[in-house]
Amino acid sequence: MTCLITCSGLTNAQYIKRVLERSLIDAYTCRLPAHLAGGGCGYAVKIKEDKLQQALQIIRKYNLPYRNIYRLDDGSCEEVVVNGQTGLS
Amino acid sequence: MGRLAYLDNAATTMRKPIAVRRAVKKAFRKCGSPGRGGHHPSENASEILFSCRMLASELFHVDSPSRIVFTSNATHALNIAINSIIKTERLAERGKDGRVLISGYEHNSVLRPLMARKSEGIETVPVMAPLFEPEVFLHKLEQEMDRGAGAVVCTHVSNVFGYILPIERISEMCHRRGIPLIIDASQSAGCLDIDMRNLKAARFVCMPGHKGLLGPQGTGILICGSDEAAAFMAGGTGADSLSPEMPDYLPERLEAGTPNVPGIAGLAEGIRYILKRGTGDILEHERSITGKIIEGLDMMPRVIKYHGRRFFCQTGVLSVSFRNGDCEEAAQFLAGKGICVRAGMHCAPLAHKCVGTLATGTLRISPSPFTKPWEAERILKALREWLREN
Repeated sequence: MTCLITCSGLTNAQYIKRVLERSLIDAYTCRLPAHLAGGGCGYAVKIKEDKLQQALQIIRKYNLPYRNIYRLDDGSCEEVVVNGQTGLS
Repeated sequence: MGRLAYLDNAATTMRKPIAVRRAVKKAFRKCGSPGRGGHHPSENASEILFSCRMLASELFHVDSPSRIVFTSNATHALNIAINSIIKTERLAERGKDGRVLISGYEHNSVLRPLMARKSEGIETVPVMAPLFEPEVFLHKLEQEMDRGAGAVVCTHVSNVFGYILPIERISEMCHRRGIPLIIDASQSAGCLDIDMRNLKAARFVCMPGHKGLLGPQGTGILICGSDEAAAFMAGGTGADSLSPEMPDYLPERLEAGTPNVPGIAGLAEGIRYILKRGTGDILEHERSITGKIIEGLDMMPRVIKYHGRRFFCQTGVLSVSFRNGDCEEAAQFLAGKGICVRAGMHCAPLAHKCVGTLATGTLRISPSPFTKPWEAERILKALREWLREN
C-alpha cells in the first residue's frame, strides 16, 4: 500500500521528497488525483505506507508544510488520521 | 580586431562556464512546462527549477527553497519587492512613518518603481553620502530613520563605483527598529557573501541571473526573507487552479505564468560554478585585474580614478573620468578596438550626484571571474592611445 502526502504547491512537494530521500526513504512527487485535488491541480509525495511514521517524524523535525495524508489501496482512498488530527499544517 | 576584451561584466557577464551553455541547450531539448503535467518533459522542467532553488538556497543560506522566487531580472524582482512592502506595510497611509529611505547609490530599478508610486503618497528619501565612507552613510541613515521610515531599500554594491555598502550593519539598524529592508544585490551576488542568516531585517533580496551569478539574460532571483509577500502579477501557476486568486504560499504566489526554464537551467549551473570556486576567490581575481588597470592608469594624469585605498569597501568595479575628455567618446574609441566597457550614467543618476560626476558620467571597467590579464593590458594600451589623440 502507498500513502500520499498532499502539499501546498509543487516546490513544497519537491522539498519534502528531497528531505525524505536524504533519510533513505523512497519518495516520488506526483500530481493529485482529481477527486483529492479540492482546489483543482495539486501535488503530493508518494511513499510506501510502512515508511509513513518515519516520514512524518522527519517532516515534523524539519517543520515542512503539508496538507493531508491519504492511504491508497486497490483503487480506494482513505484519509489517514495522525494523532487525532488530519491536515496538520 | 581579434578577441574581444570584455570588461562590461557589471552589465552582463558574457563569458559563462561551459556547463551553462550545455544546460540551456539540454533544457530546450528535454523540457516542457514545469508543474503543468505528470509527463517526463514537465517533470524534467520541474526538477531543473527545484535544483536551481536548492543551489541558490545553499549559496545564500536560505532556510527553504520555497523562498527562492524566479524572476526575469533584478528589476522585476525589485518591482515585486517594492510593491509588496508598500502593500503589506501600508506605507501610503502612514505619513512620515511610511517614508522609504534609499541610499544615494541606487539604480533606476529602485528609484523609478518608487517614484511611480509618488501619486499614491509614497515619499522616497535618498540618503546622500560620499563615496567609500560607510560610517558617514550609516550616521545619515540613522538620522533619517529618526525622522520616520516605513522601509529601507539599499543596494549592496554601487553599480557605478563598486562601492560596497555595509549591508549587515544596515540590516541590524533596521532590525532594531522593526523596519523592513529590501536589498538590491545586483552587483554583489556571485562575488560577495550574502548570508540571509545575518540579514534579519531583509524582507527581500533581489538579484539578476545574468551578472555575477553567470546565468543567461532573462533570469533573476527574489529571495523572500519571510512568507509575507504580496502577489505582483496574477495568472496560472499549475496548482490550486479552481481558486480565482493566486496561491497563498511561496514561491507560487509570486510566480505567475511559465518560467524561463532554459534560462534557469543555465542559472543553476552558474550558481554551481560559484559554489565550487567560492565568492572569495572570484572577488580576489576581479580585484587583481582591476588592480593592474589602476597601476597602469596611475601613469596617465588625465585619468580621474574613483577607488578606495586597497579596495576598501570596493569590489573589482572601477569608474574613471577624464580631464578634458569625454567618457562616451573614450568608450566608443575602445569599442572600435574591440574593448567593451560602459560609459555614461549607468542608469544611476543619484550615484553621480553623490560623487559629483553628474555632468560627465564615468567610464566603467568591470572584470569577471574569467577576465584575463591581457584584457587589462589591452585597455591600458588603448587608453594611452586615445589620450594621445584627444
